[in-house]
Amino acid sequence: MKALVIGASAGLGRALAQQLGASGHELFLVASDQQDLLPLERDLSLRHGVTVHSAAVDLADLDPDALRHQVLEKMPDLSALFYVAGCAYNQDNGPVPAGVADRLLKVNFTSGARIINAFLDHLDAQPRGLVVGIGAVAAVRARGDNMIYAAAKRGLEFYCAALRHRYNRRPLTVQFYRVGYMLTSMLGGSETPLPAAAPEKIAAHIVAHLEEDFGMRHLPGWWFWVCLVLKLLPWTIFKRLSLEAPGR
Amino acid sequence: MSEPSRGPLRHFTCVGSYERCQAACMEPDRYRTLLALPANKPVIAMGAGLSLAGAGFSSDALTVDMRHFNRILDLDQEGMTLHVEAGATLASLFSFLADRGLMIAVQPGHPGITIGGCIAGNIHGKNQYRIGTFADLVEEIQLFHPAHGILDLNRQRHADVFELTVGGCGLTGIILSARIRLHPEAGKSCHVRHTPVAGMQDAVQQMKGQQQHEDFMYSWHDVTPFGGSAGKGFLVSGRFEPGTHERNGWRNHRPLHHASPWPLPVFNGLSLPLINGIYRRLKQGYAGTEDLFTSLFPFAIMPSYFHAYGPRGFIEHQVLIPDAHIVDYLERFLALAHDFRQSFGMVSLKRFRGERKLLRYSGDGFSVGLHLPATPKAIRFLAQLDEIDTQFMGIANIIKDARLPASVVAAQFPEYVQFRERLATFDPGRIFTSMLSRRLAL
Ligand SMILES: Cc1cc2nc3c(=O)[nH]c(=O)nc-3n(C[C@H](O)[C@H](O)[C@H](O)COP(=O)(O)OP(=O)(O)OC[C@H]3O[C@@H](n4cnc5c(N)ncnc54)[C@H](O)[C@@H]3O)c2cc1C
Ligand SMILES: NC(=O)c1ccc[n+]([C@@H]2O[C@H](COP(=O)([O-])OP(=O)(O)OC[C@H]3O[C@@H](n4cnc5c(N)ncnc54)[C@H](OP(=O)(O)O)[C@@H]3O)[C@@H](O)[C@H]2O)c1
Repeated sequence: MKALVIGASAGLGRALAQQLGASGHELFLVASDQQDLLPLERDLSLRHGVTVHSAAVDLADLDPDALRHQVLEKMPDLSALFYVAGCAYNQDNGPVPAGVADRLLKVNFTSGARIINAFLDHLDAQPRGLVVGIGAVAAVRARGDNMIYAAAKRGLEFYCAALRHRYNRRPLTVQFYRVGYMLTSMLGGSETPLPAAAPEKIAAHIVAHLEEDFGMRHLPGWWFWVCLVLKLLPWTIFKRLSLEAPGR
Repeated sequence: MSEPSRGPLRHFTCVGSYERCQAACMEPDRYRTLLALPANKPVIAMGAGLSLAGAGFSSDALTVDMRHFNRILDLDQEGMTLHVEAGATLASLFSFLADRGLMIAVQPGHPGITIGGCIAGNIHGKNQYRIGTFADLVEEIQLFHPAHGILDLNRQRHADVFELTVGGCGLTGIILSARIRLHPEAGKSCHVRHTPVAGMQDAVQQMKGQQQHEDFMYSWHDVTPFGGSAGKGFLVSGRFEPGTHERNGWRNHRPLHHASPWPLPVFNGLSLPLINGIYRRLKQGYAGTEDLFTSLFPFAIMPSYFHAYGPRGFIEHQVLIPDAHIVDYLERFLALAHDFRQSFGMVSLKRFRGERKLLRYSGDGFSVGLHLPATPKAIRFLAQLDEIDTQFMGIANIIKDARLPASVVAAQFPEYVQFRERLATFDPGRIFTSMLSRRLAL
C-alpha cells in the first residue's frame, strides 16, 4: 500500500505513520511544520527501510490541487488516504474570533473534504483504494463545548458516509472512526471524565482493519455504548450535563 | 488547545522514592513548542525519569518530558555513528542496531533509559574499564537553551559547553539530539559466569587480575551476618559470543513503574540478611548463556526488585575509590557496616579506568555500589560513610544518591567550584534547575 497521511507529525497521525511504516507501506506525510516531518521521515525510512516523502502544508491555507500534484508526482500509485488532522481550542464554547472559527472549520472539515475530493478519481481508479477519516465522539450529540469543532467533525463524518454510499459498488473502501479521548497534546494533559487511550493503540486497531468495509466505528469500541446513551438521553437530562468536561 | 500547555501538576519521584515533589510538566511533541520555552522561567529536561535522584524535576521548575523526541536521524554505518534524538530509549535502539551488527557499547542497567539521560548522567555500563563511560561515545550534541537558541556542540565547537553538558545533569539546557559513536555488535549472546569470592578484598584482587580478559565484570556481595565480616559473594563475568541471535530479553522486558511500590517493605532489616544469604547460595555457582539484551539489562525483567523496598523506598550510594586506597577503604567500610548492623539490598564492585573531570563519575579505581532501605539509620550510616569516602579520595555518583549533601560533593570534587562558575558564565540566569541541583547548590 502507498499511503498519504494528513496530520502525520504528532499524536494519532504519527502513531499511524509509524505503524504503517513498520508494516512496510510507502508513505507521504503531511503536517504544517517541516521541523517535525523531517525527523519522522528519516526515522521511518531508517527503521523500516520504507520510502517516505513529506510536505509541509498549512491546512488552513490549502491548495488541494497543488497537494495532489505534489503527492502524485512522488507517489503515482497512491492507494490510501488517511485524514487524521484536527485542531481544537478551549475558547470554542461561545463566540470565537473569526480566524479561530475559520481554522477550526478548515482543519477539521473543509480541508479534509477538499483533499479527499481532490484524490477521489485517483483513488477510485486503484484496484483497492482506501479513504480513512478520523472524527470525534464529540460529534455524536451537540453540546455547548467544542461547538465549531464538533460541527466540523460531524461534517467530515457526513461526507465520508456519503462517499461510502456513492462508492459502494466500487473497489474504493471508505472507513470512518469516531475517536474518544487520546493521550496526545490535543488533550494537553487535561483530566478526562472517561479513560483516555494511547494513540498507538488506536493506530494499531486502524492498521489491523484496513481491509474491512464497516463504514463507521468507535475507538476504543466501548465508546459505542457511551455514545448510544448520550444520544438517547432525554433533553431534560442532557441539557444539565456539565459543559466544562472536555469532549473532543 | 492544539499547543501543549504546561498541564496540571504531576507527581514526580526518583527511583528509590527518596526525592519527590509535585511539579508542572509539559510533554512537547513539536519542535516549535519546545523551542518556544521562555528564557526567564525555571525549567529542566526529563528523559525516562529513571534516575535515583531528583535530577529531572523540582517543585519550582517546569519539567520538559522529552519522550516524543525519540527519532533516529541518521546512521553512518561505515563511520559507525548514530545521530538520534535525545528521548530515544536504549531499548528502541537495541534491536535497530543489532540488526545491522552494531551496538552502543556503554549501556546502563535498564533499557528504558534515554540517550539524553545517558549523556547528562555520563552513565557507565559494566565494562568501563575497557570501553570508558558514555562521555567517550558522544561526538556531537545539539543543545537548546532558551537564551542561546540551538547550539551545535562538540569537542572543538563550544567545547566548554560540550564538557559541561556531558555529565552536567541537564543544567546547561535541553539536549535535542546527539551523534553517538557505535561499536560492532560484540556478540549475539553472552556467556555469564559467577565465581564465588571469599569477600570484597578477594573480589578486588581477582578483578585486578582478570578484568582485561572479560567483556564485562562486576561483583555482588552479601554484607550481612550470613556473608561473614568480609562480605562473601561472587564475581559476575561475561564474554560475548557469536551464537544465535536470541532476543528473548528484548521481547520480554517490562517498564519500571517505580512510583508504585508495594504497600509493605518486603526488603527490610530483618528479611534482607536472609534474602541475601539465599540469593548468594543460589547464584554463586551459576554459569550459562544469556541473550545479549538480558546480560546488558539485568533489571529489565525484574522490576519487582525496586517495588519490594515498599513506600519508604531505598537509597543508592555509589563511590569511586582510587586503586591505591581501595584495600584500606573496604576495611573501613566493612567495619562501619558491621558496627551499624546495616542491611543492604545490594553491594557491588565495578572497576573503572578513565579521567576525573568536573562532576562526572569517572576516573581510575573501584566503584562501590550500595542499595539501602531508606531508614533513618541508613541515613546516619551514609553520613559517616561520606566522611570515609572523602578521606580515601573517593567521589560519589551525584546522579545516583538522592541524599548526598553539597558539602560532601564540594569536598570530594576538586572541580566543583569550577563547574558552578563555568555554568554561571554560560547561563547567568541559571534557569535549568532540579531538586538535585538545588540540593548540591549548583
Ligand atoms: C534499573 C536501573 C539501572 C541503572 N543502571 C545504571 C548503570 O548501570 N550505570 C549508570 O551509570 N547508571 C545506571 N542507572 C542510572 C541511570 O542510568 C541514570 O540516572 C540516567 O541518567 C537516567 O536516564 P533517564 O533517561 O531516565 O533520565 P532522567 O532520569 O529523566 O534524567 C536524568 C538526568 O538527565 C537529564 N536529561 C534527560 N534527558 C535530557 C535531555 N534531553 N536534555 C538535557 N538533559 C536531559 C535530566 O535533566 C536529569 O538531570 C540505572 C538506573 C536504573 C533505574
Ligand atoms: N486527542 C483527543 O483526545 C482526540 C479525541 C477525539 C478525536 N480526536 C481527533 O483525532 C485526530 C488526531 O488527533 P491528535 O490528538 O492526534 O491531534 P494532535 O496530536 O494535535 O495532532 C494533530 C495533527 O494534525 C496536524 N495539523 C493540525 N492543524 C494543522 C494545520 N493547520 N495544517 C497542517 N497540519 C495540521 C498536526 O500537525 P502540526 O503540528 O503541523 O499542526 C498534527 O500532525 C484529530 O482529528 C482529532 O480531532 C482527538
